[in-house]
Amino acid sequence: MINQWLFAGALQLGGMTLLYAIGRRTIDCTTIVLAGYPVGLLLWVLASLIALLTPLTMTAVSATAIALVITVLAITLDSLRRDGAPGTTGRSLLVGAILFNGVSFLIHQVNLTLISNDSFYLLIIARELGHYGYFTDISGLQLSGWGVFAPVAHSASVFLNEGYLYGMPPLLAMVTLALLFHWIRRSFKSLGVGQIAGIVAAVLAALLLLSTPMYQRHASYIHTNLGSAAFLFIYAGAAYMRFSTGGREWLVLAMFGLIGFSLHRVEAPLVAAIFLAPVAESRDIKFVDRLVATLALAGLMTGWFSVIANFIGDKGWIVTREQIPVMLAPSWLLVAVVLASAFRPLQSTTRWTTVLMTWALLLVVLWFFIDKTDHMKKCFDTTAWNLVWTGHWTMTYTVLLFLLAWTPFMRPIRGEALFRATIPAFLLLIVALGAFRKPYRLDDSDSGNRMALHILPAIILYVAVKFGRQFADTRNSRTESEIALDSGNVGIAAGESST
Amino acid sequence: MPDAPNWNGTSDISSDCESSFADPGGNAGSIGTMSGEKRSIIRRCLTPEALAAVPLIVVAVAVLGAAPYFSKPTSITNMVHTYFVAALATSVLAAVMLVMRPLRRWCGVLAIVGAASALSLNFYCAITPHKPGATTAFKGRWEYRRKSNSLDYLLRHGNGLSKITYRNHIALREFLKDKRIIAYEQEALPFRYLIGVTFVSAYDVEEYAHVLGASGYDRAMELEHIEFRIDARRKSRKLIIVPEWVEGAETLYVLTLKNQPVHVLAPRKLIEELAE
Repeated sequence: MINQWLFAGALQLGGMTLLYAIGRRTIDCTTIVLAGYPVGLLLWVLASLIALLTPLTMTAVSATAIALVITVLAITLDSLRRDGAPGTTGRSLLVGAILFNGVSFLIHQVNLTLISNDSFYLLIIARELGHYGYFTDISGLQLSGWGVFAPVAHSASVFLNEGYLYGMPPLLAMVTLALLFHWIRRSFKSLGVGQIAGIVAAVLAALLLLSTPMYQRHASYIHTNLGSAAFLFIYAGAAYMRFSTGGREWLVLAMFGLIGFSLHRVEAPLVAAIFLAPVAESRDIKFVDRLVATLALAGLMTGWFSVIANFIGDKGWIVTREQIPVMLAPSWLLVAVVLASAFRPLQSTTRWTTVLMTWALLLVVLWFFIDKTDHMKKCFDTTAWNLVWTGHWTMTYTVLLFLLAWTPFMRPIRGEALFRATIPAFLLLIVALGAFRKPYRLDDSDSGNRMALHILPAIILYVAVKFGRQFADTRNSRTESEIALDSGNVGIAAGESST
Repeated sequence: MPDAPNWNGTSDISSDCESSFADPGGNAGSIGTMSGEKRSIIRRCLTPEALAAVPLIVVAVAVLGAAPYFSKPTSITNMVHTYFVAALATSVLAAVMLVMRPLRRWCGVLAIVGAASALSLNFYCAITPHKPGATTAFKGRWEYRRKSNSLDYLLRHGNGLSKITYRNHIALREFLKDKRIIAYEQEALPFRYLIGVTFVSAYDVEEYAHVLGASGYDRAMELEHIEFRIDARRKSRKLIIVPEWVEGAETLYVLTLKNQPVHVLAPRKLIEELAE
């Protein structure tokens, strides 16, 4: 237990250091402390991947050394910038880290892990990676069906002399819950809504997520879904903060989230591209930032899928060689969109990217319905019924879908594109993916039903902010600078020009 | 700051703007030479904001609309009824608030009502037994996980698997390196780990048979054996799944390794061969 707790603490410290180095001018202390753990975990996984894929063998020492090198490089690069004073103090970070690790200690006291056959597969790969220190052909082949994030993260258990990281899912669940609470409260403040209303909304939203049985279950389930939900939420929340309060550092945090999400499951790059589209088409974000963001996703995914392609040969489990270009195409399309946006005649076209992707997906689903009517009907019926009844969501999705259906008729919020087109696109993608497999089944452990968890925290954030906006009296809405000053971040609002 | 709402959320949002549809920001581009009224309508419709809303409404309504389709008469009396009454009430409240302009800015109340109703039902389900005599969801889950929290336990009981730890898996793997292994197709977790090939059921056999070019389970069963070449980085190993009727396949043999009993379901002949 102590090993795992200390390991989690080290990850949180590493992630927090990296985030502080990169985002101290803009990102608030609470976010740095809470996002420190997932970012540290991502750092560890990336370092381990480097060790696994190079002649270096993955060991505790090599992975730690690589993670340290990445952190030091980031800090060195950041120290070259001289724009603004840090908004977050070391003392508040220290207090935050102590609190976080206190909660982490409590979480590590109890192991309530739930394991299924899928978990076994995942842990088997993890143990093999940890034991050998490189990808064997078999573990590589297995990764054409699984994402790489969870197995690599759990492989650390070999170094810790433990069976698996039972503390990881509940910690990620706790981080997601706390960030949801914090970001809703912060968003309400920026909307000029009263503090009490912000707290009430944040408490309700957090309780709604917490009371959802699927969320509770996955908070201790060894699988990829809660990790996906946590990282996608970090992306959505941080990108929303970028749009609503400004500051390129939020985009860096968002990209950490999106990369973490993309490595969780094999189909994740498709979802990631959909969610990155609003950033790629945005005229509010600098051209260079958008280009770096899209290239980071496309480049990393291309690198990873070429590794998978190397392993699977002509076989492949869920992903085959033929499907890999399809998986990567949307990411590179976004790079093209960003490049196109540099040319004035194309600028008005590029801002349709997210909508066109969603409509394209809608048409694809319709085509599948025509082509495989019975199969797709079963997929859709099952997905719908799982969401509202058999999927163990209790009433959460029923209410959220009703509320979502009203959102187009309400006052807009900043960064709305992050949610309005992407939420239906994600749900459509779940149905569309059903065309390539056996039909979904009526069960909470069904793959499509579990995927619905990925987007749940982001939907709750959107609904809370969107409806909170209706409370706002825009005459009392504060400017970005005021919010920044109030949060103790003084350098954010300046100089975020468009392309 | 500019007054129009922006799709990308960059500019300040006007208090006059009551909906995304009502004021799309005037960025629809050139519409040609139509009359002002027509152009205005098309301009309102052909914006990313408006078009993005369509799939959202379609998906939400389709999912919720599909649900009553499944609602059989017997289930009306259970929770489904509560679901839809609550959801309908939320919806009506939303409609009233949106239609009545003075109430529009109080739409946030709707979210609170919705969230609170969802919350109450979620907690109600958690603390209520699903059937008479059953434990509550919370209690049941707690007891189940308290028992099943160790990997050893899970390996022993989770799948009815052999008593074996991962440490022994590693040791076994080393021990059996370069050996020719024959495994019965069920209850074979040790081999799953040893070799890295996953198979627990006939379904898996079918899947692998498909990979090998056979046309499904029946075809796989027709084969005398299915052969896999497992090429590790340095070594090459073979795994052969032997169907039930092959002589000796049903024999259970207990292989002892480092004083740890490991149950391996495999032909006695093979185990004897391995033990040599």
